[in-house]
Amino acid sequence: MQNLTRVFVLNLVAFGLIYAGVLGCSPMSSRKASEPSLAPEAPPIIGDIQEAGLKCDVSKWKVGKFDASRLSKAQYINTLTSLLTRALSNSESQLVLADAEVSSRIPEDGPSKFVDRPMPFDSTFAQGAFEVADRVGNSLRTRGYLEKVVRAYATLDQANCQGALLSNLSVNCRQAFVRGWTLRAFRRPLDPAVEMSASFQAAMGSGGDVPTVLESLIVSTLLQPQFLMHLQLDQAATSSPALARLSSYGVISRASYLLWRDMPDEKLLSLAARNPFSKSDLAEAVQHLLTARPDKIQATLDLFVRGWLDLNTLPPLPSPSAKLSYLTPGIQVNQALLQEMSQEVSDLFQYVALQNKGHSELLTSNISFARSPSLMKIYGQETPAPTVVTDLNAVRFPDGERVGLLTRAALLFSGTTIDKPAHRSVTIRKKFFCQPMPPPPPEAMAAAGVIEQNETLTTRRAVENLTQVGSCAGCHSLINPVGFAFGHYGPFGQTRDVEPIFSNNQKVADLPIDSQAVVLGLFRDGVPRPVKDGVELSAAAARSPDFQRCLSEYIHWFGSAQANQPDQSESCQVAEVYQAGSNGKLLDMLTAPILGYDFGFRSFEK
Amino acid sequence: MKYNRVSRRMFLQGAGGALLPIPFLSSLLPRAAWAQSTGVPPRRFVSFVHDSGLGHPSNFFPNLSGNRFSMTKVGRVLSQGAGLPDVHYEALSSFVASTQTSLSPIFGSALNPYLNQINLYKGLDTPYVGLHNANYLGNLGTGGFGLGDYGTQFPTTPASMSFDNLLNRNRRFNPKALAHRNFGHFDFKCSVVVDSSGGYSFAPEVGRTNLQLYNAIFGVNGGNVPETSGQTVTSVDHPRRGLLTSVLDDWRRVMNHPSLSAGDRRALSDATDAFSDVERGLAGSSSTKGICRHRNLSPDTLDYYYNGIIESQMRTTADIISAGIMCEAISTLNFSHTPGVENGNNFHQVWQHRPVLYDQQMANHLGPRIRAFLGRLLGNLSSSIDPANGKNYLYNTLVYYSMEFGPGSHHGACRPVLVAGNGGGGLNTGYYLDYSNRTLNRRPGYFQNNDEYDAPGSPSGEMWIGEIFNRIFVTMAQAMGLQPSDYEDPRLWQFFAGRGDMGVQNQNLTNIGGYGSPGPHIVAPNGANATYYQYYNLSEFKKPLAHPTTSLYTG
Repeated sequence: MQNLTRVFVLNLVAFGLIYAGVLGCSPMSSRKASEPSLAPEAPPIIGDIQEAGLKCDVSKWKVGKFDASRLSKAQYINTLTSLLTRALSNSESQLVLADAEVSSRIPEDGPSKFVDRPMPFDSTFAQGAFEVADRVGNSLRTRGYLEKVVRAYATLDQANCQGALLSNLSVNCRQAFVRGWTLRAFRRPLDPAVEMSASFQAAMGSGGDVPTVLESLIVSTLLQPQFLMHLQLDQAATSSPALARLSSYGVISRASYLLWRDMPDEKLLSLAARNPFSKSDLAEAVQHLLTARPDKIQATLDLFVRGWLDLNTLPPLPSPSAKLSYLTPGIQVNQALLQEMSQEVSDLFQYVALQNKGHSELLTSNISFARSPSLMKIYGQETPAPTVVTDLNAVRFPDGERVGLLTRAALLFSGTTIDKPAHRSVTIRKKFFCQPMPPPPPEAMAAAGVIEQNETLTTRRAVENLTQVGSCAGCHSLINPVGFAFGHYGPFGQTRDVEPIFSNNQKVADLPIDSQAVVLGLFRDGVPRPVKDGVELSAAAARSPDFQRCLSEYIHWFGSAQANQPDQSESCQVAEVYQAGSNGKLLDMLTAPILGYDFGFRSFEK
Repeated sequence: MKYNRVSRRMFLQGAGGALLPIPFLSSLLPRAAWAQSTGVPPRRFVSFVHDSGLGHPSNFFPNLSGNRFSMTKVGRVLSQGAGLPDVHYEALSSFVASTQTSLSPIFGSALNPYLNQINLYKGLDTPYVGLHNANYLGNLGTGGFGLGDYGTQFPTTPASMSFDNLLNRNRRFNPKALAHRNFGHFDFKCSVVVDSSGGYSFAPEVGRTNLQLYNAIFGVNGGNVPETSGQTVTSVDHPRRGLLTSVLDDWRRVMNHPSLSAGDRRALSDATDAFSDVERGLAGSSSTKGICRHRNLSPDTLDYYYNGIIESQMRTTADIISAGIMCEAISTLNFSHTPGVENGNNFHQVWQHRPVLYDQQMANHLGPRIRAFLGRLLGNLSSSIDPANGKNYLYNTLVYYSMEFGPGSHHGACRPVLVAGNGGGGLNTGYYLDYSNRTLNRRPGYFQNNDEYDAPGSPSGEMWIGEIFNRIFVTMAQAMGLQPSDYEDPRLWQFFAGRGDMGVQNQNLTNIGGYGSPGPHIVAPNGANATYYQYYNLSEFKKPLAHPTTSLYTG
């Protein structure tokens, strides 16, 4: 355990160094006042990168982070759906998607923290993509939708192609269809120099049976790399062979897939078509992404907060017992309850973000989003949260009872019939303060069972007895107090003043809760913080820049769409997110990765 | 970095394309050919099982190199839900770099042509066994349990039929009431029947030689089963094969785009290779269906136990079994295999009791024979078309291969399982599936400190807690179209209800009997072995194992 203590202390030191790195890079305010154009202006010269507006040291960029990757399953389905609904009604599109059996034929993605993480482009995916493309083609033809699709996309290319039979479609209209269709499918204009393959030439020419040729073009498009992958074929070179700037279409597409997991809509494509494409155009695009499709942005925020707080992997439900029955009167203890708990946290996060609230409200909001009887019972709440929560109609917790994320059931739920102070503390340190925590030693897991079986003491006293002596004391002197502060919340998150003690399946005592604690090593200033309970600790955390810094790390992780947690080499980008939140707004932090100038560039290996 | 990598797919395309039979993707057939697949498919079941074990998991599973107990390729993750371990899975074909690459020491490369019709399962546990009463073929009534040597240990335990007989007697599975045959070493009891009065007994054995097996299936000199010549079936190219060929040209053109990074090109190369696989599968083919030939077989009279085993003997057994299936002479067959005496040594006593010392020897010694049998059987079944539904026979069959123990001697944790075939479409195949819970490594002590794998200095045991073994039988039963009422045995429930000694999470459980029951030792109230079950979520025992939602074989 002594070694673990050393590891823990070293990690705290390392953590401090990371913070130092975060703070050490130049702030956003040092940028030039004028907005640099992203494309298609002349590319920046590598020696003049700082002049061109690149904020962070390019030499520290991760190489290959934005190499070509295939669409994830969600992105694929969303993109195909969007392509169809530009031309067909929703019900017609759903029929085509059902014919294609998209959900079952496209393989599942890999595990993901925040972002879609597609598995490699293997034969399973290729086979699924082929079958879907084949079936989409067949469905459009047999259901009589082909003509509707062709005319709609030709019209999007501003051609007047109504009237004539499809079999007699003019060459102009055929070409308009191909341009309109591929602009959406490829998320950028067709480049004749590299993309005029046989099927494209046939479709844009005058020969062949028009319906057959155009159906083949549609099927072929759905199998092209420009459709199935995130590719930057139109990027602009810089003087550095390993640095390129994305085109306006590349930037818009990347932003769209980040915030919507979908292709750009018509508004976004029109913004991408602006020449020159400026930073204000990108800001306009972001605003559009935040407002035009609430369902999509909510889904993305849900993805983020679930990844950040591991809401999809809450502890398993405890086994039935007399104590469990005592603790959960009127509460349905089942998987649905866990889903309701995690959804409530997600709803709070979305509310703070989309109502343009301050990030500190994540730790201070007294608004409940509980809507199910069981979760309302846990919260002692009579009225369910409205479907659309506003400042005026919100259901609020009584003063001093419950504030912010740290006091929500999902983060308090222990999976047992006792609260787990150490577990709660580790969660807070890792998720809200980005402190690396050593894994618990094997004996700690056995100790957890001992604590649960104790029949005479509060959980706090049992934990203290077990951990404040011997080799455990080093780490637990730091870990325990943070968890003890939340002792007024039971294992399901209910508020309580006493803890029931059970022996032989019978309650034998109610012992008073002591939630006072002196918190050590949580805040970077190193000052011990005496707190009376979790509400007070939440308030202190909300006031601290440490939480904002940690949140910045997670947002950068999300925004950079990478599988693994960013390391210190990306502290500059993290600082950019942090600075964006200097006005207190969570939404500004969430959009900072896109609006940061670096978003329009990629570094790679030639 | 210079881009000069030759991908696995390129290798296959260039060097092995002509040699590697890519499974024909009949979902990609011309639409006229798709219409042949109608109705409930006929199904068959073949079990091939060893007594004891054949050493460490690395003998069976791919890519356990370096630290031989850490998968270097964990693969994709299927999330099973709160409280359940994730399932790691990956396409079996991804572990095979060429047609000659060995999948594992036991299976070699013999199964490579059929990988998309195979699942290889890891992390399936019978938590503790002790003697030889492992649930070889499901549930409690097998492996001598309750009978003979081990009857005194749990004398009052009821039995249920073993999986082979259960299927054979089910008319949804076996509407024509075709025969069951139980073949192999008579001391290795894993095929059990239950009579009308509820008593149980071992299924009758046909013997231990191929001639005995042949006569039992076809009659003496094959007189009971007439031969048929069948007919040749040809299919044409998929109508979009040409389009895909053209698309492949597009991919290659894009791959030469000057903007691309090395990483871009690698990704495009892999994708192009993947589409090449698909494109090859769109080609037409020719096959024979409805053929029944068995008189050309020359069954030997070698005793499977006492005379050792030779590869040709194993192939002949495979030929007899596959002919029995194609001639509609059997619907189910169990092949109990025990190595017996090898080169003057009692294989079981000398090698299987020392799994650490003889891991490699067991693989080297028996691997060629095992893959000779499985390779021949899968080859026969996959190359002929069942006239009942136009699918190949392997598609309509499940071939189950496993054994009594995992890596430890007399211990049923981490028993390797191979299932080939699609059970008529009920099983998604093509995967290496690992159900190990990577957060629960119980070593040391899982073998009760009496096994070589618990000894100081021994290699790490594969003691991740996985899923209860019987879930593979639930999986196969449901894949074969059976309903829980067909295989669950309510008499078993009394032994599980309200058990408080099976771990905190399993208290007060009821109704976990039948093929969802965990295994024999749990029956002993408050027995020491029950403690092993605390790591398993018994409420999941009646559910089939989680699988990917798509099959890599779509024929």
